[in-house]
Amino acid sequence: MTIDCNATLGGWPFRRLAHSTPRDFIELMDEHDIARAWAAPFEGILYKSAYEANEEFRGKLSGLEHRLTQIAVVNPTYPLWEDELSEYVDWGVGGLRVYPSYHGYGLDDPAFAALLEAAGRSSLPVQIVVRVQDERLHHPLAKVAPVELTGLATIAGQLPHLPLIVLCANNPEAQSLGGACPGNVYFDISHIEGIGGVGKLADQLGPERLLFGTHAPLLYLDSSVLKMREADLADEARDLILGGNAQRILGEGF
Amino acid sequence: MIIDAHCHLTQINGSAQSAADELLYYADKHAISKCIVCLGDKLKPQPMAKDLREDNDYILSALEHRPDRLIGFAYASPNHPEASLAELDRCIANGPMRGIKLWICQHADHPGNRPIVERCIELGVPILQHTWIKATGNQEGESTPYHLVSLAQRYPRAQFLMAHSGGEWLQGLRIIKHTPNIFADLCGGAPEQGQTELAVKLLGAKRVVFGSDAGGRSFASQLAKVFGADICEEDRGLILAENITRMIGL
Repeated sequence: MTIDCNATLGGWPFRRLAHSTPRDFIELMDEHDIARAWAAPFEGILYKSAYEANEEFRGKLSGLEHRLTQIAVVNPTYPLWEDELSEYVDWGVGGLRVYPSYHGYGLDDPAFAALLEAAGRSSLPVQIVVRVQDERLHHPLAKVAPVELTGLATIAGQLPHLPLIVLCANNPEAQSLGGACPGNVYFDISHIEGIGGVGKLADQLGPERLLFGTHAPLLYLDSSVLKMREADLADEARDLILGGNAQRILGEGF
Repeated sequence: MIIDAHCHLTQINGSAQSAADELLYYADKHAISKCIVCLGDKLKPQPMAKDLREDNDYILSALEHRPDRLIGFAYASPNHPEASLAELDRCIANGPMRGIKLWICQHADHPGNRPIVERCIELGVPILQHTWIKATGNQEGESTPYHLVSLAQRYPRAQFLMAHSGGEWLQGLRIIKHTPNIFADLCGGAPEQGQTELAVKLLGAKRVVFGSDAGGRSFASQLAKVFGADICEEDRGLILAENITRMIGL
């Protein structure tokens, strides 16, 4: 079973996107035999209150929860996030997603530490988005640096039972960080490049550390599908990346 | 059939021969028939004349190793027009290569490129020019699509491939729309949804060419721009092979 751990739906502020509504995205998933996607709303990045974006998105996913697992965007520097997190638990979200660079804090910020503690108490994995778009392509009024991942290994070591999923890391970031990180740190493949790149990274970090993620529809969904075709992987490793690791993190039914 | 119009043997370990073998090993996973390779192994942005020759020697040795699958483009530089012309004679007129690559040492409309382009017209080969519009700022000699338009309008009989679709493809594709001797090479940037659809809409599929920028890029992410695009099968065929086949006289 294939699970896409990195979908972001809704309105991308800087240009038109196809397949960005939940129903259209499910059609795209069907074309590629993707059973389930973990999805968050684009609006969670730039709305002042991420809660409003999550609430809107929850309504749009109604009746589609068997295909799309809601991931709630959280900004731990914004007032009342802890109360809102409790609400997300009641909603049954699959995990949390953070955009430190867009929300103006670093991984060494006490607010981030507080979020991780709260996530751990609620048994919600945390997705850390390194970048949303290649920095060279940013809108001139919205240039946002990638997340500085230094220190993540230490943070992860202090919370060994909390899955930390790094989304949209490129090869140097995953390679330099991955080897030093404990086993609760995972990377999605959406930005892993180079010929045979996913297979080579699996050799370096172990396939149990990689998750199939597309970053669609901002990126063509086919990219990660074809990366799996290009990767040299044993069947067992392939199954782990495509969905086994994700199922282990969220459990069956997510 | 799939022909990859933009590959390198860099970021792959080993000799030219082993790098070529590895490139083609992964190309086989996508049924890519042939790859165009250029730039040698040094990636020197400001090559001296001897660097051009050494880089082209590197590509020639790869072509000799896998002549059935690899096609070469000669590295040329407007900073060294005489040496570049000698390389065009050696590698194209009297050798197996079928085009040239211009990179980032000077803007595309630098006067040093004029004799090089004139010789390409005589030889009937295309010119692959790196282009980017970077929000983070271009390098000093790094061309934008505007520089390429300036050169291409001076030489309407020459055929140009605009590498990376200008990087910031939403602008790049618009900038070349009215310059019909520039073709968009899709290669190299993130596989952002919509790039290929816009290229086909603005330029027509006959002016759009698949390239990957492998080995630094995967074939996968770049092929996704073609296979994931909402275009008709006829256009897909033009982009994947027919256009570049026509350009290089394969």
